[in-house]
Amino acid sequence: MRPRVEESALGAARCEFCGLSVVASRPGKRSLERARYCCYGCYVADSIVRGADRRSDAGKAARWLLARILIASFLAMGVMVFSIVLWSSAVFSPAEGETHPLGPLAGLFRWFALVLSTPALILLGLPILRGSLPLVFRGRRGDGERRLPSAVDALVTLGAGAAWCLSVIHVARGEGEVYFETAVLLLLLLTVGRWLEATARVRARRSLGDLAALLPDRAILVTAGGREESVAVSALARGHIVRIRPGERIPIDGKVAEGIASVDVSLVTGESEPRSCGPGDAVFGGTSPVDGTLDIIVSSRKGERLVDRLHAAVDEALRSRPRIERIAEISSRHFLRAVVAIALGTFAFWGARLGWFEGLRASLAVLLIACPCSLGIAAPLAIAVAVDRAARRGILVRNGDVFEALAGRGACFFDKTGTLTLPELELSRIVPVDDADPVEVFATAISLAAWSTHPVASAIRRAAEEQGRNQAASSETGDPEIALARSTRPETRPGRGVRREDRGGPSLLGSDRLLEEEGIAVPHDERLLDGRRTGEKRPVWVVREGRVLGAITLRESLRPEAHATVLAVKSAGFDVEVLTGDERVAADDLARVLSVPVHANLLPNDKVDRVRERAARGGAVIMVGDGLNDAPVIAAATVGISLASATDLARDSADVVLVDSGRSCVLDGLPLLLDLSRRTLARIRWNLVWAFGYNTIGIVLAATGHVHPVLAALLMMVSSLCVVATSVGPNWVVEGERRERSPLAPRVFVGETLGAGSLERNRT
Amino acid sequence: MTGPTLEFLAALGVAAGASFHCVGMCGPFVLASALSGDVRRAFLRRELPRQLLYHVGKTTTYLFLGALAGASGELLIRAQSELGRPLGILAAIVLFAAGLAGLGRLPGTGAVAGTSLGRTIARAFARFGDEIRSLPPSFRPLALGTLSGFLPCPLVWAFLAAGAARGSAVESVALLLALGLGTAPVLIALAWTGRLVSASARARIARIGAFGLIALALWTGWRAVGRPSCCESGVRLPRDAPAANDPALPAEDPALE
Repeated sequence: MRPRVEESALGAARCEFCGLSVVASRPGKRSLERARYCCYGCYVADSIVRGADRRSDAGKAARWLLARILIASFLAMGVMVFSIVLWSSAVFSPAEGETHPLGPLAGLFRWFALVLSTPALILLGLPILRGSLPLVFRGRRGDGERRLPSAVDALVTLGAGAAWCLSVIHVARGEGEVYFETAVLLLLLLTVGRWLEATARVRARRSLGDLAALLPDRAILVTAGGREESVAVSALARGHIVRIRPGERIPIDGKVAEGIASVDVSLVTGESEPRSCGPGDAVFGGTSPVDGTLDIIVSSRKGERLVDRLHAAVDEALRSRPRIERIAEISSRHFLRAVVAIALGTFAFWGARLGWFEGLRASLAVLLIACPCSLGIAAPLAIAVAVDRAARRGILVRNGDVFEALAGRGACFFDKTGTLTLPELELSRIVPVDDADPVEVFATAISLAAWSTHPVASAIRRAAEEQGRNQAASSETGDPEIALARSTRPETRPGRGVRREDRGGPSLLGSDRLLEEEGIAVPHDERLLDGRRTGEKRPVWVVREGRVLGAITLRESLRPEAHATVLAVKSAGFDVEVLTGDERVAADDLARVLSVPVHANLLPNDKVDRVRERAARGGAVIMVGDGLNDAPVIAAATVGISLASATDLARDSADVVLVDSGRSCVLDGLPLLLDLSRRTLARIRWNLVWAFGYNTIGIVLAATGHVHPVLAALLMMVSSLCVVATSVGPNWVVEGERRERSPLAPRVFVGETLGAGSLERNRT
Repeated sequence: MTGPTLEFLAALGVAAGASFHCVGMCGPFVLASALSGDVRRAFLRRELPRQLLYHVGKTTTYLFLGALAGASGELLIRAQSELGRPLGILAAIVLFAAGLAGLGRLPGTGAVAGTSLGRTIARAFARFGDEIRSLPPSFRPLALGTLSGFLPCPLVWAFLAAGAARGSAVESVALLLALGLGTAPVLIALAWTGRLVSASARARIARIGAFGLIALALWTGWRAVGRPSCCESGVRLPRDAPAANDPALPAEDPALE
C-alpha cells in the first residue's frame, strides 16, 4: 500500500508519516499512486500505524510485513544450523587421504543453506531496494535528509546480495567458503532494527491518537420525549443531550445538564483525583463519570473536541523541526558522507591486500556499524516523547524548540490578572454600615445581582452558591419583600451598577457614582480604606429602599498554586518578575506575598519593551500570560506560555499552552514543563554523545577488520535500541507529585462568617 | 548398529517418554494452532499439515539452539581442552535435575511463574503471541512452533547441556533433532484427539521419561568422569591443539594420528 501523499504548493510530495519531501518515481498522475515513503523506516512505521485496523489494506500490508520478518527468521535459523555444522566440520579439515567428517553431507548442507537463504533474501532485500534505490538515484539535492540513510540501506542490501552471489558460485563449483548466514543475518538484523525503531517512534506519537481512538463511536441521545436512542457520535450536533452512565466514557465535549457525578479526568489532564461535576460544569471527551449518570449538552462535534485539538496540535509540534533536531540531522548527513567514504576506502585497502571479497566484508562492517539511526532519532524521538508526556498533563507544546530554551536559565515574566490570579473576582468581605444585618446586606446584594452578568454580580452569585444558597435569603430573614423584589428585574446602569425601584425607594448595587446619582450620601468607613491598602477593589455599595445597608468588597485571589510555582521557577534558575497594568497598591500587595518584583501601571507596549530589554541581555525570556490579551508580549518573548481554556486553543498562538480544562492548579504545569525540558535536553545530549562515541569506536574497529559484518549489524541494532530505550524510558516526571497549596492563598468562608454575624476574609 | 545411531535412538526414546510432560507447556500452543471444530474427520487432510508445520518450526528452533550450544562447547574446548570434563559433568547435573523435576522432586519452571522474571518472560511471549494471531492463518502454525521452541523448558535445557558437552555442533544438532522428533508424536496425538490418555496414565509415562533422563544423566557423567581425557569423551581436537601431542593419551586414538 502507498501512503496518502500531500501535494505542497510547489508540487513536491511529502511523506505521509514524517512530512519530509518525497521524490515521485515518475511524473504525472501515476507518480502520486506510486509515491514513496522517504525511507524504509517510515514505510515500516506507517505500516504499523495503519495496521491498527487489521481489515484494511494497510492492515493486511502490516500483517504481511510481520509475516515476512517471521518467515525470514525461521529461514535464517535453518541457514545458521547448516552454516554452524559446516563451520564445525571445516575446523577439522581432513588431512590428505582422509574423508571429510560429514562426508557427502557437506556438499548437501551447502545446497540446503542456499535453498533456505534465497527466499529470505528475496523477502527482506527486495522491499529495501525498491524503497531506497529510487531515492538514491532520482532524489533531488534537497532530499539529503533521507537520501543518505537510504543509500546506506541500499549499499548494505547490495553487499548482502554480493555475499550471497559469491556463495552460490562457490556452491556450484563445489569449493570455497560460503556466506549465506552472513547475507541473511545482515538483512534480518537491518529489517528488525528498522522495525523496532519504527515501533518506538509510532508508540511515542500515537498516544493521544490512542486516546481519541478510545472514545466510543456511539452515544445515547436523549430525545425531546425523554426516550433514549443510540446514535453515532459523528451525528451529534451542538445542543443535543447525551446520557453517560457510570463507567462509560464521555464521547464528546459538553456541559452537564443534569446529574452529579465524580468524573475521572486522568486520561485527559493527568489528574488522578476525580472531579465532582454537576449542572453547568464543563466536561470533556475521554473522561468518565465514576459514580453517577450525567446528561450532557453537546458543545463540540466530533473532530472539534479537546482531545482532537490536542492531538492535532501535538501532531503539528512533532512535524516542527527544532533547532537541535536540525543540527543533529545536518551532523548526521556529514557523518554519513564520511562513513561512505571510509567504507569505500576500506574496500579498496583490504581488497588490494586480501582480495575483493575480504574488502567487501570489511566495508560492509563499516557501513553497518556506523548506524545513522542513533544520530537520526536521538533528538526527534526524545522530543516526541516529551511533547506527548506534556500533552498528557494538559501542557500543549506547539514548538519543539521550547525544550532547549526552558532547560537553560534566564528570566520569567508573569502577567498578574488572570495568570497569577484567578480570572474571576472573589467576594472578600461584607462590611455592614451602622447596625445593618450582614445577612440582609448579602441577601439584598444577591437579589440585585441575580439578573446581571457583570463580574461583580458573578462573584456575588458564586459566593452565594458556595454556601449552598441559590435563592435569596428570604427564608432565613423571613422578609417576604425580598422575595417579592426578586421577581422584578433591576435596571442596569452601565459602568455604575444596577438599580431597582422598590416600594420604599430605590435599591442599588453599585459604585460611589451610582449612589451620588441617586442623591444618597456615600458613607466613609475606615475599614474600607484599610481594605484598599491591602489590595481590595473599590467597594460595591448595597442600598435597599434608599437606605445604605453596607458594602461588599471584592478582590482578585491568587491562584492556590501561584506561590509554589513562582518558587519553583526561581529555583530552576529563572529571575521572576510580574508585569501588570493594575494599580500600585495591588502590585505592592502581590510583591509582598510572592517576594518578587512587581511592575505596575504598565501599558501593553511597556510590557513588550521590558521583555525585549531583558531578552537583549541574553538567556531565555519566558512570558506567562492569559493568551488573548497578552498576545503581543507573549510573542515578544523567547518562549510564550499562555493559559487558555479549551475553546480558545484555536486562537492562541503561544509556544506553550497550559490548557485550563477546569482543573484547579493549571500553573502547576510550568514547573513540570521546566523539569521535563531539563530531562529532555539531558537525554538528547546523552543520546548524541552515545551515538558519536559508539560510531567512532565502531568504525575504527570495523575499518581495521576487527568486526564481522554480522556482529556489526547486531551492534547497530543494539545501539539503536539503547537510544530508543533512553528516549522512551520510564516516566520522567514523578507521578502524583502535588504541590502544597500556598499558606497565603485566601479563601472565603461566607457561610461560616454569616452565621457569626460578620464577614472577614479568611486566610488558611 | 553403530554407536552414534544407538545414541540417537536412545535420545529419541527419552524424548518420547518425557514428552508427556510437554503436554502441559506446549499443549496450549498446539491447540491454539489447531483448527476449531471437529477435526478428527478432516485431520489427515486439514489438521495434520498444520501440525507438521508447527513441529517443523519447533524442531528448527531446537536445531538452531543445539547448533549454538554445540558450537559454544566446541569453542570452549578448543580454547581450553581441559574444559571437556567439567562441561560433561555440568551437562550430567542439568540432565539429572531435569529428571528430578519430572519426578516432582525439584521445582520445575512453574516456580518461576510468580517472579518478576517469570512475568517479564510471560509478557514478552504474550506480545509475540498477539502478533502471531494477527498473521494470515497459514503462517500461524509455523510461527507458533518457532516461538514455542524458545519457551523455557528443563527438557530442552537438559538436551542443550548434553549437546554443549559433546563439544561438537554436529552431535549437538543430532541430539536436538532427536528431541524434536521424539516429542512430536505425543503432541500431534493431542491435536488429533483434543486430549490424550488419562491424567494418571500420562503421569506414569512421564515418570518413565524422567527416569530416562536420569539414566542419560548418569551415562553422560560417566563418560565425562570415567574417561581419562577430553578426547575420549568424544571431543575431536584440531590437529594443532596442544592436547593432541599429549604422550599420556593412547596412540591409537584416531584424532591424534
